Amino acid sequence: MIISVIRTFLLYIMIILAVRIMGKRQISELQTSELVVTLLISDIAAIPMQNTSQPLVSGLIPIFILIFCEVVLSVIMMSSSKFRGFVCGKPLIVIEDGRIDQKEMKRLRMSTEDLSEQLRQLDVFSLSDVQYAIVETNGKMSVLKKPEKLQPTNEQLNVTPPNTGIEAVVINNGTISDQSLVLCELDRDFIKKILLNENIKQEDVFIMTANRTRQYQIIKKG
Amino acid sequence: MKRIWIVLIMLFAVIGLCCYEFIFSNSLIVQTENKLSEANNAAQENNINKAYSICEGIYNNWRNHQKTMNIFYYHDSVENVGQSIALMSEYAKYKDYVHFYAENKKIGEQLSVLKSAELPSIDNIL
Repeated sequence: MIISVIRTFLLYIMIILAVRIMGKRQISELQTSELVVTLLISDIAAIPMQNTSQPLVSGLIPIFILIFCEVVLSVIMMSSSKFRGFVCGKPLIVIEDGRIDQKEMKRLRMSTEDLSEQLRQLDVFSLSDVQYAIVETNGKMSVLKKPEKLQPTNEQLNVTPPNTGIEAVVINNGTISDQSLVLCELDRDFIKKILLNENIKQEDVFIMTANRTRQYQIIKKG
Repeated sequence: MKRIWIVLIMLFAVIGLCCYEFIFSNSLIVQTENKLSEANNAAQENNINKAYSICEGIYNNWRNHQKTMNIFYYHDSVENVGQSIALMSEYAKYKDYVHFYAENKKIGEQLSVLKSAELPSIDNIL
């Protein structure tokens, strides 16, 4: 049994490494090839985990080869759109100029209910609001609303909102994050000064967020 | 580009490991097969003591390499060969010719299966 435990740890580390090597795309929306690789890796890793009489390398070698194929495939796809189209398919327009393309919907085996559901998930509750709806290669839908249904931007309204930059967690559970300080252009002295003013010890802070304009929020540990 | 280098290094390491495995296991199996036929000949020449000492040699050699073989092959297959060699050695020790020849033949078959299983032939791939 101890072999199973050690093997599980090893394969777990191996799969994490595999996903890291394959990149961030692997953990968000999956393309066809990525889905195939993910399914295969999880399946291959499970076998030597359970069957201790099977050599561990018989599980590791296919994982290495799959990572190799996936990375090489993504590099080729990056340089050749034809190849990318062959492997991942092409985005399909299901609503064009406000008209539903029934032929494309049939090709996608997409019912009107599916279409409405996907539109609702994108905060579109009426088909008449849509100018373009495109089913992307990863199966997600992108929608462009009709101009009259679009919300005006600040630029169109001639409004200039203050640029506060990103709000980052500068103290997490009593620990200052230097990376977050760099992100919101602050330093440790500023944080210490705030904590002194608020009369809070650093280790008592559950979370502290701040932004570039030096606005902050502190939540103490309960 | 970094990822490409990582996967290329991984690929070469895997290919290297596969080549090592092929060469290592093949040489061990061929060596064992030769010794088996040597033991068989010795038994046929009624020199069972020589056959016994050869069997002991085969057994020790197999046991010494078993850990490495386990990395590449199903542990059961490797263990079965080891057990059969031990058994053949005991048959030689007690001069049980019938079982000695049978076990010798059986080990030969087991080794041939192990050897052919790693050959990159069409039937193995399919």
